[in-house]
Amino acid sequence: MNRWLTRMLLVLILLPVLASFAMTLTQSGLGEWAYWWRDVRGWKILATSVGFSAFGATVALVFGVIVAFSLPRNRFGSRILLMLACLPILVPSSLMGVGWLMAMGTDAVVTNQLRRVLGSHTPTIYNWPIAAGATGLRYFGIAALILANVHTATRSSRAAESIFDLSWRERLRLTRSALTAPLVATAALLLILVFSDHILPGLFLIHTFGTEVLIQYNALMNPAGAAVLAILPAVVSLVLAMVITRLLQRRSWTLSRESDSEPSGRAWPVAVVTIAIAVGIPLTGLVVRSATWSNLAASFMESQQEAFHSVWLSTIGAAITLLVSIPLATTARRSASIWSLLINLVVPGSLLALGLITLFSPRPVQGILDTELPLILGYVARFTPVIVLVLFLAWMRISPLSDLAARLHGVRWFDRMVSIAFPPRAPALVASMGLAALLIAAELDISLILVRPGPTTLGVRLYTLIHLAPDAVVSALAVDLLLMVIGVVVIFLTLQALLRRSIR
Amino acid sequence: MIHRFRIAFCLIALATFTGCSRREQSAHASPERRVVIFTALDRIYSEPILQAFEQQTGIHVEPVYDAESAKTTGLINRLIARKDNPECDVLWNNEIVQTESLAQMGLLAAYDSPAAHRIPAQYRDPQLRWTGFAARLRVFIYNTKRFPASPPPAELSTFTDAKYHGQGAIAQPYYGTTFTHVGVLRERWGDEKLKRWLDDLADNACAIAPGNGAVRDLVASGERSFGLTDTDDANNAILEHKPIAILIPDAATGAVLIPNTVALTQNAAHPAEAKALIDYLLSPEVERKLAAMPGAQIPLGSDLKDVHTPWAKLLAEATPQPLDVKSIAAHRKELIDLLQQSKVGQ
Repeated sequence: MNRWLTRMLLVLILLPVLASFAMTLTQSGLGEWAYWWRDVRGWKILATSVGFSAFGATVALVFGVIVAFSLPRNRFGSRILLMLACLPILVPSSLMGVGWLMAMGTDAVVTNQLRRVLGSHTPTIYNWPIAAGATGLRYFGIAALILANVHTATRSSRAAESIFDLSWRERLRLTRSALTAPLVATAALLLILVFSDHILPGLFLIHTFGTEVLIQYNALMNPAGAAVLAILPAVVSLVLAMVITRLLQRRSWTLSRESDSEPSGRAWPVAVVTIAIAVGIPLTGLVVRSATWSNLAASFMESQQEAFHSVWLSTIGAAITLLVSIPLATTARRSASIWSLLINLVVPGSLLALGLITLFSPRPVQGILDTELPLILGYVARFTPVIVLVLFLAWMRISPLSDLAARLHGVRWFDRMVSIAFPPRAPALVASMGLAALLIAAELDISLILVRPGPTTLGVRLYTLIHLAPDAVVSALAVDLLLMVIGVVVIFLTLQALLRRSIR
Repeated sequence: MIHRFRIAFCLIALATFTGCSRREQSAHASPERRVVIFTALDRIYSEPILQAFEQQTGIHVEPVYDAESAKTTGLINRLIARKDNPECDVLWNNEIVQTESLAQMGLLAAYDSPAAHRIPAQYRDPQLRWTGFAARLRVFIYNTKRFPASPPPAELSTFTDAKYHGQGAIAQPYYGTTFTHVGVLRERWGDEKLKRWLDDLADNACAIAPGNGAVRDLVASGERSFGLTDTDDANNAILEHKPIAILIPDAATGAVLIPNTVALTQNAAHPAEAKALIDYLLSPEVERKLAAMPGAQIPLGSDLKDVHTPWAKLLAEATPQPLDVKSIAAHRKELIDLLQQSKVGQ
């Protein structure tokens, strides 16, 4: 892949963040920097956000570790359970927020049951630790997924145990040394994710950076102030991202392939209970409050326009994200600069949205703001790093020798692509397309700011209805959305499985 | 290969641009008439009204609804950002101060709607840049399970009374009708007293919710004992048989009545359609519909004296006080500064 294309794509993807950053370097932006540096409020919000995120990330890590190490490897059931654990991140945060409110609010399904036992001391979602835990639990599936695939620890310790007959203390030391790097990296990743979420804390009445960014932008009509405020958490996230990169570079741990793994663990009921707490509680709240099938049907009919619009945006956005990611993933092994696009993943979504508004604010291009393009570009900028990473990891084991041999034998480019390059890469492409579509459908930060006149997205509709419509209507819409997400996951997994089978 | 990728990339870019603007082009090229409206009124109330307009006139309405957490101001900000080339034709605001702010910024065009003449002059801009209709009251709501015998004092000082520590809730004061309410309080009390009240709110652990609907939910669920919200939000909870009762806060000084406002934007792309929509929104039919909806908005039209809402008793107890909208809007910046300096803003 030539450098021209790679660099151009990289610049395009990073343009929104760069535009936001440039906005903070204008005269008003520099004034905002000075203001927030001096103002105690900024530091207080930073402290609140960090404390809240740290607690939430810890809860997510604990749940992730429990699930990862109690699941048997390479079993169909394990995959289903891991997928369930990842479900919260594949649905809009507003959906999980509604679920937790319906389950653990003051007059809510689970709280009301708990109150019979605990009386007036029953905690609700508005209690700080519960709110932080619930926010963290949206992301625990990622921890479970990463740690379930890290098998260096168990493999090395098991081998050592069997050869040297180690004491429990030595076993613990061995396991700890092998697990430290992946655990720290996962914890840092979770911290980034919880830190950049403001939808859930906002619903649980916790004022974090994200809330303040929106106040700056919406209420105070101060985009430069909003950008400055969004950059501060972005810097924290970048530092964490560098920690992760450093740990990845140590290569003291690897992601396993399923075929390498040995079956282990009889503790799967522990995983089931853990997932039931993290995912089952909010979903129970939704299902109970949505009340009847007719509510579900009515809610679906009312939100048809948004459903079609979400599908359209997700499809287009995912297709472009995939097309942009393919050349970048192909070049990633040789060009370290490509990983700079991870910035887009760690900054708050609102920063990308503000950057896109800045880019399209000059009068000659202002008309573009009337189209879907800024929103789609926002999605592409946000999720390209994820897809590049997924494709890179999936393709790194594919040997280039077959393609090289075909080239030496003078096979045409098109034939090589169709017969040699595409088949082993197809499952990852299909999975990436599905993942991108789901992430886009679940996105809320960028959508809230950039959605154009006309139908919104299902996530935005749910978010705007949370405190307006009756509980049954909101819950029914959330359940509809959940069913659609599950449907998409099933379709793409089936497609991926079929492709894998056809390749074998 | 490089060349092919370049061609592929250009094709994708072309497809994206054309695909994304397909709706735009068809809208411009086809005879279909359309109008873009920004509406801050809760979607569950505004959506059916806009759909009825579409059915009656055949004019396609493209609405942008505000999220509860970004009431009014999100859309206002968007309007300001696009002042030279507005995407919005009609602004249907759920309050009045932000609309007047826009008028003072020169973003709204004058339009003498024939339908506006039925609205009393106090709810119309003398320069015809906006017209008020269908109003709501700011109300004090309390949870009847928490206060089964007698209600708490329906006063703003209750929120700062140590006896009720951690029991009150208000919406973010930067947004929507709460911003207007705080503006009214500034006019009544002056800066010093308002700041002291806001500081005391924070000291007394009053919850700052993302919106008035959230305040209603907090009080209805019993998470908080009382709060400040609007009649439409409160009535929703009552209709759902939630344990809520409504009073006028500081009734002795008069009720705060906040109308919806509708305005034509300066340089609107679809002026004829926009005017048709404004005429429709100001019609007695719409005020009747809004009064009959769960939000039970109070009609302002002089021809709708026969329409009764559940708020007649409240209005009899406390007469709505006229709002000095121009002054509140003119001092918007000072009010925001004061909010930021207060403990609530921190």
